Amino acid sequence: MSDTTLQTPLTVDDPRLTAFALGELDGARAAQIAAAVQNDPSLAAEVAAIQATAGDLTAALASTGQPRLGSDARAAIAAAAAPKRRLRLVPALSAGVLAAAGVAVAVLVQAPAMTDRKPARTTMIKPQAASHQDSNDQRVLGESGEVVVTYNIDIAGRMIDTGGMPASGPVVEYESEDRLQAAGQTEIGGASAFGAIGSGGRGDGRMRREYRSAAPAELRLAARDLNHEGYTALGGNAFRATAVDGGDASTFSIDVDTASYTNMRRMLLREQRMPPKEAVRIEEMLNYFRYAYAPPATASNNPFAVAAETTACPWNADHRLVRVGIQGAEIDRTERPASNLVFLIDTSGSMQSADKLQLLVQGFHHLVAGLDSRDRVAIVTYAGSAGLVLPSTSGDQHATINGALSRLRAGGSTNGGAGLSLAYATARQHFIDGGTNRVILATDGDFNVGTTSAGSLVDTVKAQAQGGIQMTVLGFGTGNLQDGRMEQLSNDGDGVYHYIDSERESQRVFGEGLTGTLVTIARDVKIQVFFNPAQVAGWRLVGYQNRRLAREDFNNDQKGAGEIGAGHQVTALYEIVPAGRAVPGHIATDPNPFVAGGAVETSAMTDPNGPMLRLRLRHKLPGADRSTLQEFDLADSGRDWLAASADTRWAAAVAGAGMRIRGEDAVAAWSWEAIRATAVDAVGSDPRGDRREFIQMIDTAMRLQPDAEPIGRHPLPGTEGADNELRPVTR
Amino acid sequence: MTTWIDIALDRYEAPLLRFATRLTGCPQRAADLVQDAFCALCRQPRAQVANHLAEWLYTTVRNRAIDHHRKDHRMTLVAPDTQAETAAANVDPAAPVEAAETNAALHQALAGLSDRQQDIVRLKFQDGLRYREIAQALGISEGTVARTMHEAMARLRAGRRLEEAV
Repeated sequence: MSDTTLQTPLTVDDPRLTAFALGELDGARAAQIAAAVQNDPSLAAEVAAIQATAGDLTAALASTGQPRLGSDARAAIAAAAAPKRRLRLVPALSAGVLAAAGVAVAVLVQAPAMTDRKPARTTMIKPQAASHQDSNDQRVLGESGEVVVTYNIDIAGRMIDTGGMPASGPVVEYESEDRLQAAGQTEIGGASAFGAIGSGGRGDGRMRREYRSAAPAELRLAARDLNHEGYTALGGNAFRATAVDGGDASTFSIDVDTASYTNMRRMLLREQRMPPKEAVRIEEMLNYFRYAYAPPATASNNPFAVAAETTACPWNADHRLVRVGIQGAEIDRTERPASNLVFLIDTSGSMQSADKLQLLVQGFHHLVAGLDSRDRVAIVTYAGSAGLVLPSTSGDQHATINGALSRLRAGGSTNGGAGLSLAYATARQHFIDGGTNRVILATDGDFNVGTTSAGSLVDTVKAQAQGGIQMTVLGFGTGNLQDGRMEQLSNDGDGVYHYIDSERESQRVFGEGLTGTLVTIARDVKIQVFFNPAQVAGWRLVGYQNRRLAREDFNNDQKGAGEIGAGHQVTALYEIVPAGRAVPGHIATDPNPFVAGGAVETSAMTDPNGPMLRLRLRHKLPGADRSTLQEFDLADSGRDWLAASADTRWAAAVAGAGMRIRGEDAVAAWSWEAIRATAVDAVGSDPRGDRREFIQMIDTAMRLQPDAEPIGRHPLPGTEGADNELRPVTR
Repeated sequence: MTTWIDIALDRYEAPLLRFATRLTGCPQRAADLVQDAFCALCRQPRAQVANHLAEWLYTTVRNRAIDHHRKDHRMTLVAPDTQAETAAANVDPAAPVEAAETNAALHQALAGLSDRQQDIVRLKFQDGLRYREIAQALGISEGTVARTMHEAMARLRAGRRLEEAV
């Protein structure tokens, strides 16, 4: 190729001409083009013109205002560049601050040895594009040629002894991940770090997950596509037949989160848009509202009372509806146990907008107002580096605490892991035996996984919850909310997840609901329902999809579940297919010939005149290791929908709206008009206007996603009384 | 003490922020990505990356942006990102006063280019990258860069001629 003549004549349309003009060609190739240009005045003119344009472009694009990273980000980079790799001082926690606060704590944190970390392993990469082309399945194939990547993540053996100090270092990194990136491969490791936290792969320490991911080469990120809110898809909510092995029991963990509801409210009322169906968790909608449930008898030791009602199902006349309601005991403000709180506040740049940091600070002001000298408050921020903004301070020092809150400023990047370690260390230092020890994480949800492994985050949160420090998660803002991850964190941390969409909501959570937010009255509350196959052909639990437990988990006291705070209410609905009716979607199975009666045929052993179901609850009192079992039988009253209590009608309307937004077939026959009419009829006194506000949300939803065609109106019911039909089981 | 990281930071901080902002449409997100990339760079043996620093940095930023995007895509994309508009001005690449009057025509022509053409033109003339580096940064072949640049330059010049004729 030393020949300086070109094989084909050079034209003005040849990209090499531009490359030559811009000095992009190396010696031999440049010489070839130079020779051709010399012999052709039109080419020479072209080169001159390209160079002139290039000069103009360079001048035009030489901007005066160069974007710069914030000082926090630069500090974080400087810290990362520091020669000592393994041992690192938490940067923002200067010795001076510690000395001034009179706290003698060595915050020397050791990152775990890299050998603990096994790189994410690719077990199978299936190019699904080819095999799915015929099916025209956009969900699998995607617009940009998605592929399904399956891999295992080894999350075993990384938890380090927590003996009172932060367990995981602030900077825990997958080296393998960066190597992969440097090699220009798709980051399976990076995706795994995100995926691990949203998925519920617990127990055996290994997770096998499927993720859809777009092929990088195909990917063009348009600004309009960039809503960073993340939602984890919930499983389906199909009917189960009692005749099928294991289908006679339903086991789940209670849940008092309300985040999904307030997040939906933000989208429907403020942004006037339909929430994505993954954002709809029906149990959180149900549990947002207050119901007229009776409290536990004061003489009883029960931390909560339970009630249930059966009626016709409003969206399917052939089915029955069971509402289970739990009412936690109220605790007087003055009798509340002492609280040791650490606010872990995300002050990264994305928290800047008015619906985030400002609202967050207001919310904490509400909370602080309810604290007194029994309590302690510390504030830890994380943004690039983690910092102890306020050392643990007595709860009656409102001015000091509020002053520290008011001085918070957003800026810089996010390093959630470092902040988390510091927050737990601070909480551990000031641990109150018999009190509430809690880290309250406030964020728009963007834990920076670039410097923190999601797996170790979950391990830390779980281990700390077992060690008596719970985590409550407060979600803020729009556009960035990592909803699924936040919910997972609060679940792992034995805490609650709230989404704060307004000052009113922060008043609700921290003002009126403060004792409920701070005081746990029962832990690991599980519900198990045994259905009587002689009366029940099939059933489904409405909502609680990611709260389902295995049948054997019910009796396993090692298996954690949801907490109930003082005064909290929990509502669950079952849709029941009565015996003798077909269970939707059910496919008949064959009996096992080696088992007497076929093991699946149970009706011979049951009583057609017995109760419809047995409701079983387990809970632990705070501090107790062993659970307490309560059992109740529920007979179907045969009550008509017209006779249903207002609470059941309201719950059904809320669930119906949630299922409509989720696009569930089961409620397709229940029109928006009928749902709305049911809700309007069941509003009751509604002292805070919550229920009326929900009707506005229905109005928005039915406008955005109207019924395809008019659906027959449903008769309206009309009683107010909420009878408890449960009968305690005595042995 | 000035380290090689400091030098890299001075050279690529602004270009990477612009690049990441174009990728994500969100200056805050961009700042996070760039910080991550530099933190990751600190963990690289210098000898391994010194010869292709630009490629490494741009590729890392791009991969992480895709990673974020992919994560988001597993979930549901719903509405336009409002953050881009409300973001702080200090990292907003749209803010720099680059629309001097004499360059107005050129900027107008630039805006008429495809996203990829704009990316390549900016990486070349604003950030001073070579074709090879641009190819790495965008995950495309060097040939594609050459062809796209050629088309972009032709369109820019045609656009200017049109402006001048009017």
